[in-house]
Amino acid sequence: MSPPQSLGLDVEILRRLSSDRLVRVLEDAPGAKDLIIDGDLMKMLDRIAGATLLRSHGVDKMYRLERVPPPVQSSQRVYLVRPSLLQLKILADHVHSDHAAHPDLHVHVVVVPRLVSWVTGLLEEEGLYGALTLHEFCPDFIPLDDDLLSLEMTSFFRDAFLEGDFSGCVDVARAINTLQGLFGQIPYVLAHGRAAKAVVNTLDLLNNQNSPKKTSQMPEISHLFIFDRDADYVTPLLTQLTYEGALDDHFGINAGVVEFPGEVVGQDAPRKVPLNSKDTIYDNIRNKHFASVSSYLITKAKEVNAKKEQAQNMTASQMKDFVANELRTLQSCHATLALHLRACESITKSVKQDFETQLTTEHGLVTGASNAGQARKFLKNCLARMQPLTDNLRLFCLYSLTQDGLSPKDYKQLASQMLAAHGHKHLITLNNLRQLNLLCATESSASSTGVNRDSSGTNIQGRLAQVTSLLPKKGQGWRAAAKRLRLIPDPDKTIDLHNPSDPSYVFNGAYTPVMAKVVGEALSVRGAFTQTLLDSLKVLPGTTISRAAPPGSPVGPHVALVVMMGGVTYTEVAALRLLAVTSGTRIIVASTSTINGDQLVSGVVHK
Amino acid sequence: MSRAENEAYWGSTDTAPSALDNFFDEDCEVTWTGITAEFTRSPQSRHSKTTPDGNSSSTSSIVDNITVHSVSDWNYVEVKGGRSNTSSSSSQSVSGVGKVIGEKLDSWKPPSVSIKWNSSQGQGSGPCVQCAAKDTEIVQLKKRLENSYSRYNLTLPPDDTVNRILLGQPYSLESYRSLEDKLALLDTALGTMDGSAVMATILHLKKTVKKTIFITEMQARPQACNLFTNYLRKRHKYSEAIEFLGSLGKPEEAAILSYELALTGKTPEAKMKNMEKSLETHFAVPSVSFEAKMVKNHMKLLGRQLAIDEADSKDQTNPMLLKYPRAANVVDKSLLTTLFYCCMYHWEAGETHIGSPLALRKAHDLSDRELLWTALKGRARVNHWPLPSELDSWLGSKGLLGALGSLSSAFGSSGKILPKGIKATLPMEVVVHTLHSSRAPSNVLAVYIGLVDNLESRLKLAHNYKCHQAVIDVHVAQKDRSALEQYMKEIPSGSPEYLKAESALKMVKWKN
Repeated sequence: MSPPQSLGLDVEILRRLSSDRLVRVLEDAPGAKDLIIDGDLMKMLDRIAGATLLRSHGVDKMYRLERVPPPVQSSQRVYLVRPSLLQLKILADHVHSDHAAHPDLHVHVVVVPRLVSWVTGLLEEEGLYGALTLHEFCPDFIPLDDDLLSLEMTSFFRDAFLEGDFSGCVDVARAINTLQGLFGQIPYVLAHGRAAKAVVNTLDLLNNQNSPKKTSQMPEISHLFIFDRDADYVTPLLTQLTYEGALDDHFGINAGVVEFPGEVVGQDAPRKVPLNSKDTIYDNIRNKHFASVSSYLITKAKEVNAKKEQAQNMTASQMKDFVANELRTLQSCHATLALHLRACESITKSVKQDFETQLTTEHGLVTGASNAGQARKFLKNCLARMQPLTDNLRLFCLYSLTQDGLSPKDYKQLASQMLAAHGHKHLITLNNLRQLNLLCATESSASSTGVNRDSSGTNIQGRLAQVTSLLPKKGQGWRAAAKRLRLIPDPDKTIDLHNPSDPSYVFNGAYTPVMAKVVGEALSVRGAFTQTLLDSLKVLPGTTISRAAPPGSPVGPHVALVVMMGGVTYTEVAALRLLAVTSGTRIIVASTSTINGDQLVSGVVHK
Repeated sequence: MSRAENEAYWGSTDTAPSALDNFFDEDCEVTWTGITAEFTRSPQSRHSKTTPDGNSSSTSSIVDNITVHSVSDWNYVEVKGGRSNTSSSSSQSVSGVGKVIGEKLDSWKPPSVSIKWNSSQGQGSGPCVQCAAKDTEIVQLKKRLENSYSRYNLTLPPDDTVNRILLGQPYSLESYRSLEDKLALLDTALGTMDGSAVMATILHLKKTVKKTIFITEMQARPQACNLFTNYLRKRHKYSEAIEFLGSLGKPEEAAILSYELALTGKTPEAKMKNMEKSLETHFAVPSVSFEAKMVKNHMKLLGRQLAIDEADSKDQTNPMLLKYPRAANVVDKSLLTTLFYCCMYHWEAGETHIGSPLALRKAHDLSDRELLWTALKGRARVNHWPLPSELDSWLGSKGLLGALGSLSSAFGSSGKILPKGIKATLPMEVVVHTLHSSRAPSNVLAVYIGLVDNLESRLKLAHNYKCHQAVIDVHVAQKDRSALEQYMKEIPSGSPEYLKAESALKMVKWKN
């Protein structure tokens, strides 16, 4: 399943760039220092630089940023923080409280990824501007794998789509700009959505600042796709069915590392295991449909055992050779196989008893094959049984999206049962989901006809209002969009889940992730994007920007960079990996972070 | 102008003129530092010597910042002076800054500046004694600078400033003083969508215009409103945010935010009080009538939870409380969790008791589905698995259609196929699973399995949960003697189920 690797373009270099930049920032505070790190940055820093590297640059103690300040032991302390107002307020409180006892303490603040206006504003208000030394540390994409890059900006989805703060787009643009600096200006660009537009705008601005010689470099990446998460909410809401997706849903994969509980690793304590293509067994199963993983693992395990048995009948010299060369690989193979088999077992055991009903409901809602009444009943039972909040919210949102919005009666009934099960404070959560258009209660027909009557004048404004009232309202056009983009495969066509050729295998052939569909269509045509494709994108929220290489200019090899603003699911990654194979393109997926349905929803849950 | 001349100028006054001094202080960062560089020109040490007390409170770090800022700005100003419209060189790379300064200092030509600012007062410098002429010119320029401090011709075009914010370069918004400029700036920032630039321009607008103008202009820019409201929220300036949303004409959002604020109360009592206030002031709008109802329910629930907790914490007689000590306080839990708690501890209580599950159901209009599920799970927690008949009599027959109807009739005719047309409210397969995982005894399981319509799935369930009784029931219902005899081999002989199967063999009319 692995995409063609023959094309150069080593993304590992990005890690070195980030780590060098981090070192430079640390050296800006020469000598011994204590480090206080925003919890949100821990995993990212871990992927860029280990503690040893930090220690070799004067870092003594490391603390997580919490309300209570750590003891002052060094004459310098360096705070590494996100530009979040809440965290910065804590930081400011630390500095105030430490100042009394330690007036000589020198405080550095490193804002990751950049010093935004409200950071300086807050520090100024706190009377700390000038008393602290401010730095920026702008990391590049972190390579989680050869074909998966992440900025680990886990709060981007909430910040941008809920709170209207698209400042993270600048950082994405910077990271893409680095890639363009390394691999040349990307000739074909297709961007859709608000955040995507902001990225392209900033990218243009940065391009103008680059030295002109870079633009003449032969491009090593031919296509750049940028999408917003809100172009496809259905994918993260559905239960993930690929092995990697299932691992993410059940154990949680953070920045490319999964923490298996003790029962899976066969020890008392949980163990962190990096998941990437360096592990060839994992590379073979990660994108497989969950149903075919264990049989594959068992076959492999039998092969390994057979080889070990062969060793029984070996001559002494053969044995010596075997021990020297093969035994170690066989043993590690064996360990990996056992690990994944236990992981499979653990997932199978922990899936809900009504897992099948859950899947049938989800897929029935998406394809429209089953009636909505059954789904509503299932949801009501889930609510009454107090199933986990995120599961219930996911199903509620999926129900609303696929019905193109709920009737006020339906909405009120389900919403009040949601609050009964999980607490009334989630009135705020529901409001957030409505802001995101993940939930939608259609206006009652009475009030909308009232509007029409008011505006039914002969004046142009009245007519305009009439026209706009006919247009699909926000969060209500999902079904039309799915039809237009042909996201739901023909039910008569059988989708092979075990040897897939169609990206919809990731959802049992019920649904194709938007990203995989659009990128697939775009790559199927050499050269500029077709008008048909651009027209079909109009059904998604936001506007499209498309660029093509001027005729005659070098286009370079077929390599595509697909950027998802607001988090990419492992399901989408799997679908794109399949696409890479079928289209003969190397596809590199980049995102603000990896995400699953629970993370997406819990990001906007009221705490 | 040579370096010596400049030194002579600064040397002639002990300190910089006070007006100029203030001028720098107000705006020590940005565009204007470019001008600072003109006058101070020579390195930092001179600056601090000549303007002694201006920045005395600040530490060295600020000075460092200023140095860097003035360098890059200075380049910028020069570009402007030369009327070059390409903004590409506006930011010099940081590397080689020192060299750049040196070159720029040497090649610095004030005339370019004087040309730019000469328009109003006319004549260029005459060919008199150079020194004196330059002195006069500087004084004039200085005055003009002060006068034109806010004038349009000195403000950078909005997109330049916005790009500077975006790229993390020093900037100043002080010079945008006309409303038109401020709005142009805000709209440019909104065009780039960069939160940092948008917030900076919003705060500048808010700081400098009166409220009504601010509101009117924000109203026309919903993206900015959203960002600003969330900014206030995160700064814990809730009341300001609520007021802002109110004046924007968004009572729904204001109401939700006031509820959010109410929840920040430290104690349940404070929360209730806050909610009451919020209901009065913000939830009166008809468009949030549903939400208002939910908030009222929340208050009602909290009140009940406090009463239950008060009663139970003193209660020494309730055997359930003694047998199963309370793991946690029920206050602030969800409605169904409260119901669960009540089912555990106050199952037998009459409707007048504060902790009675039935009273809770009445007060909060719970559906049968919610009630039955929670009762089943709550009772299982205290090792009690009520039979359908028990649930029936507990709930009373009135008002309970659907679930109860089916449950009671099913029990009444236990072991027989349910009459068609009556659908159980709860999916029996899931109920059986829940009961089984809460270790319900086999005879209870058998009764619930008996409620499944379809004999095939009933048999499957019975086998799955190894419920002998239920398997026997199915075979009896199917009149399948051979299957029953076959199955009896799996039951230990002499057990109650075995005996029952034996008696069934004698009683029933078999089809085979």
